[in-house]
Amino acid sequence: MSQTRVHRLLLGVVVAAVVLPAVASAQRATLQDAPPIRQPLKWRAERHQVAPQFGFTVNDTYSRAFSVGLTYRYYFYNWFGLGADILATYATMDTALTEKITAELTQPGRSGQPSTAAPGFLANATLTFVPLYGKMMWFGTLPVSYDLQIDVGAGLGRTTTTGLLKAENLFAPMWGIGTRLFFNDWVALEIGIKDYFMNYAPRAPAGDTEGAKEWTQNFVFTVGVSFFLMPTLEHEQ
Amino acid sequence: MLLLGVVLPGLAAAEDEGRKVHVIEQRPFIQRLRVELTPKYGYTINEVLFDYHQVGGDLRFHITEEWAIAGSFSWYFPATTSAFEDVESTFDTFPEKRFVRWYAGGEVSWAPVYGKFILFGSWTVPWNAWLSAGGGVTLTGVDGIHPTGTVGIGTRLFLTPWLTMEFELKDHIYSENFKAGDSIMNNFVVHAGFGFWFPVGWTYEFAK
Repeated sequence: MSQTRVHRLLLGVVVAAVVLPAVASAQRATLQDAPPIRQPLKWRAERHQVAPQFGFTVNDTYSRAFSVGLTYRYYFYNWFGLGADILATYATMDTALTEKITAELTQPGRSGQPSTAAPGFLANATLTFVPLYGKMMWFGTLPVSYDLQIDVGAGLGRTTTTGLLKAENLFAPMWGIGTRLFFNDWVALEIGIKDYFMNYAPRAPAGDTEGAKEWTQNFVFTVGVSFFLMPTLEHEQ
Repeated sequence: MLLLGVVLPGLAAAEDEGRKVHVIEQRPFIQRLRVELTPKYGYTINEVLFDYHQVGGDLRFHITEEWAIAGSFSWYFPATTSAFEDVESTFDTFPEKRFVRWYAGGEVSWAPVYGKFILFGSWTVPWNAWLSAGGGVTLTGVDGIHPTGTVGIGTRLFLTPWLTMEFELKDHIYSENFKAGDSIMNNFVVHAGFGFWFPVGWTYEFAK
């Protein structure tokens, strides 16, 4: 080996010794600017969600409704999905206020029972936004992934009635919030509350067949189990 | 010599990689032995005849990272709702008014859940969640003092070493004596507030 080649080799080693740590340092700097998750799991993106649900109305003045339903979504991204919800009421119950009114107005031979109305069937197209997701630890040992979603939608509502009020078909815009807890790659517990806006008469005095219509907020608390398909969980690239 | 200078650190690094290191992450927020003062706003969500906006506060001492004790006070601003007027005008009946005036009490809280989330894909926020149980007194009407039990669930977002944002749902359970008879009341109150922590910071025992 000539003296010149030896010099070149030594020069190469010196340059490598100087440059390689600088490259490592540059990589650290890049890490500082890196996203919080480099290859996030596609919990929702490009997956179908099917969720059977139970629901009941809350904060009711005159009548409470209990329902079953089904939710379907297709998530284009981890943060956005599009689909539909249906809820069908299978039972209603007078509130304590309605029972008190009935007791106060009922006289011998004449019922004071008011007629009431509540959401009976709800079907709507829904956009779902997921602005927040993460993971939590239960009791220091059980890790659970979760998200929080916001729903916005519109569709058809049909009331269910008691007494002399008649059921009506109505336009029913809605919004809601909810959370999902993933217990494995494709099954999650889903809890939420939806607010349906409907213009109908929620009550009428005994003998009145019409009542006075008004825009009402109908809050429905829902709990269900979500199934995500395909079941295999993938990473974003 | 030059070659040794380059190669030896590499060998040492390879040896380090072979060792097993037990990594314990630093907690992002220390609660133990700190006092938290939380001014808060509240609203009773399951009352249809009355609007109950509330202001108040909690003073909480965190004994451990999970357990804490607290004193709590809420002052109510009551008003009738449109549903109340609707009942009067539609049915010619007049519901009895027994406004809630204030609540004062204490509680024990336990925080078994903690986590973190990413907001808008970039901001990592640690948080925890707690369950609480306690008791106190509620004043309704003019002089109706009622022993009250509470159960609650809450969450706090750790924003800075001395500031948290908190949300809580608490059920206030007491017996109200209406003219028509006694009735068990369940008033579900949603609270939101900011927690100010003292001392305002901490030092870790071990370096990161």
